[in-house]
Amino acid sequence: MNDNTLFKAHPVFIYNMLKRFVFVLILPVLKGAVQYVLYRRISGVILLESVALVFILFLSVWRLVSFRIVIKDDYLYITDGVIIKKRAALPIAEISTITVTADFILDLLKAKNVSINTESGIYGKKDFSFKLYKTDVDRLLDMVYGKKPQIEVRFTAEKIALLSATASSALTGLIVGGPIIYRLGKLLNIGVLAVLNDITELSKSIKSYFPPIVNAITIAFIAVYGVSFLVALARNMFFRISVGGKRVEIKSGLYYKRQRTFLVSSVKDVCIAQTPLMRAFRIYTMRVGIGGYGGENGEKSTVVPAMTKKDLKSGFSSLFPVLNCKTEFINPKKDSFSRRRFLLLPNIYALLIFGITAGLIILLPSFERLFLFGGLVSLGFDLYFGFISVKKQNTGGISFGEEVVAKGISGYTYYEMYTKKNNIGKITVKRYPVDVIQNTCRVSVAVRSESADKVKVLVLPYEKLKNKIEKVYGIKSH
Amino acid sequence: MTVTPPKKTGTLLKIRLGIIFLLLSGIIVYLSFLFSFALLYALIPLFALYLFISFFYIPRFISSTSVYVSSEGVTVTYGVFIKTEHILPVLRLVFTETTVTPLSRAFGVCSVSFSGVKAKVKTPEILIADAMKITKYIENEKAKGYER
Repeated sequence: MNDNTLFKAHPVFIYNMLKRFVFVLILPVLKGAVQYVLYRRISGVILLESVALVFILFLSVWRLVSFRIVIKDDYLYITDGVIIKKRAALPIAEISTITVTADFILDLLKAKNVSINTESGIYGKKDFSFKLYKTDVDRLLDMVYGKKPQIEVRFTAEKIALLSATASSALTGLIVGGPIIYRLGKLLNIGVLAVLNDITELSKSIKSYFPPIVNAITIAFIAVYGVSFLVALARNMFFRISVGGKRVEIKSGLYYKRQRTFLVSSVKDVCIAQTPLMRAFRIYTMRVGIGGYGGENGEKSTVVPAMTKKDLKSGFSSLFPVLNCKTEFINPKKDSFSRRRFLLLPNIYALLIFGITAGLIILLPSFERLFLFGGLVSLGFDLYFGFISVKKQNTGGISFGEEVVAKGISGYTYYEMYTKKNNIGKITVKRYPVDVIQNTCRVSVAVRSESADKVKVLVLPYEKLKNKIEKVYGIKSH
Repeated sequence: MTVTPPKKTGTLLKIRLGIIFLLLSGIIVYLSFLFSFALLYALIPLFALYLFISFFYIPRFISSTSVYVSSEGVTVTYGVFIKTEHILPVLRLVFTETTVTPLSRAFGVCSVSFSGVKAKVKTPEILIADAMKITKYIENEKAKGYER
């Protein structure tokens, strides 16, 4: 690439520039406060405030005008700053992802937020972030990643809804919905307590063995889960993936549009996951780990919201050949002692639940039905945990070769991670006393980059695993 | 290629230090007018510290600093009491960034920062021409690396 193309920032970028200088506006106020404490009078604050405002406006406009991005000889040069001038020389090959976002205001102004991420920089912070004209964004992406992808895969509304449903949690709903309900309540002159009263009244009308508080909790839980589902649905709406050459583009969003572009070569690992809700529908989601620190989503990008595993592998193995690998798995031991090891924690939890529930009922008999409900719910979770633990033994496994594949369960979610052997950053082999007796171990493999995927497999035959690691990586364990 | 900071980097650091010293002295003098003139005694250790950093630490810091760039990597060495050496392999470098402030621009110097995977090393101010040479050299070496 021998172009020498210049990109200037969109005028709306001035807002970001202004934000950095806002502290200057506090100085005249501070001066006024000090003056009042010392002399019991305030003068010249408005004049100073106006001067400060003009000053920061001048600096921001100057900075906006001097901001430039130049693409030249496979390098991206980003020049920013007026008083302290910075010029970054970024090799295009080192770019992990370019994320483009726009809310409806930016959409109206024909502008887009662009963030460029590399493997360097601070985790959770975008390396370079700015606002460009819509047309410039397309030009920039074309120059960095080559021509726009032609093949576009769209997903049905049900699949998007499924992704949203499985990605939602009541906690998210509470965080997002709580303040909205509170504000709405204030606006309509009904407090949160009134809303809770309504929920309790509604729950009283539902006839069940359990007290109304149980019904109220259930209704509130479903309501906040509903809010979380709606938020996730709006975020995932219009989800589509475009593939062309080496470029992958993922777009989604209703009110806040997000577009993430990356090269297939930047993909460090491919992870197929199945949450408990997805298990009910026998579908999986697929996401890729990209070796760059980004903003909101870290390094992971969902590629497929919901699909059967067979369709996932057949549809995407040409894009990610690592999915095609056929290697021999080392699986957890299947004997009855190992099974008991897998079920140890669920059994302990069950005993604890029985004990605590019985104890509480004896101590506070008037709340018997409430404690019984709590105990039953906890027992339900524990039963599911037991089922997951058995699944951990049956489906877990790891294979080492040119590709590394690890299958395991973390929390309640099943993971299948595919990566090249050179992309593995750390292999941890742990042995507890019972492992030494049984000649087993637990292994966790993590991909070579911070916050990337990590899969743990338990009760694996130690000698077999040790030999395999030695053969593949040439590293002897001591 | 080995690059060391020019003498004017020392002068620049001394000017910056002088500004900080003057600001702190101003605050102390102002506070002494408000509260007690005894506060002016604080100027003595402050001035001693200024002299120590200015005439002992900065010259030694400048002479101890060097940036060595080769096809293999970048080595940045500095330190008076604690010697530090940062070694960054060229292929693990992600991007370089030059920073110029109005004062450093007046002196014709700028600092270069090397950002690698989980690493960032910033050099003291070196000549702008040297900084450009280093950046260009790394660009070429990285390009060769990609070709390989």
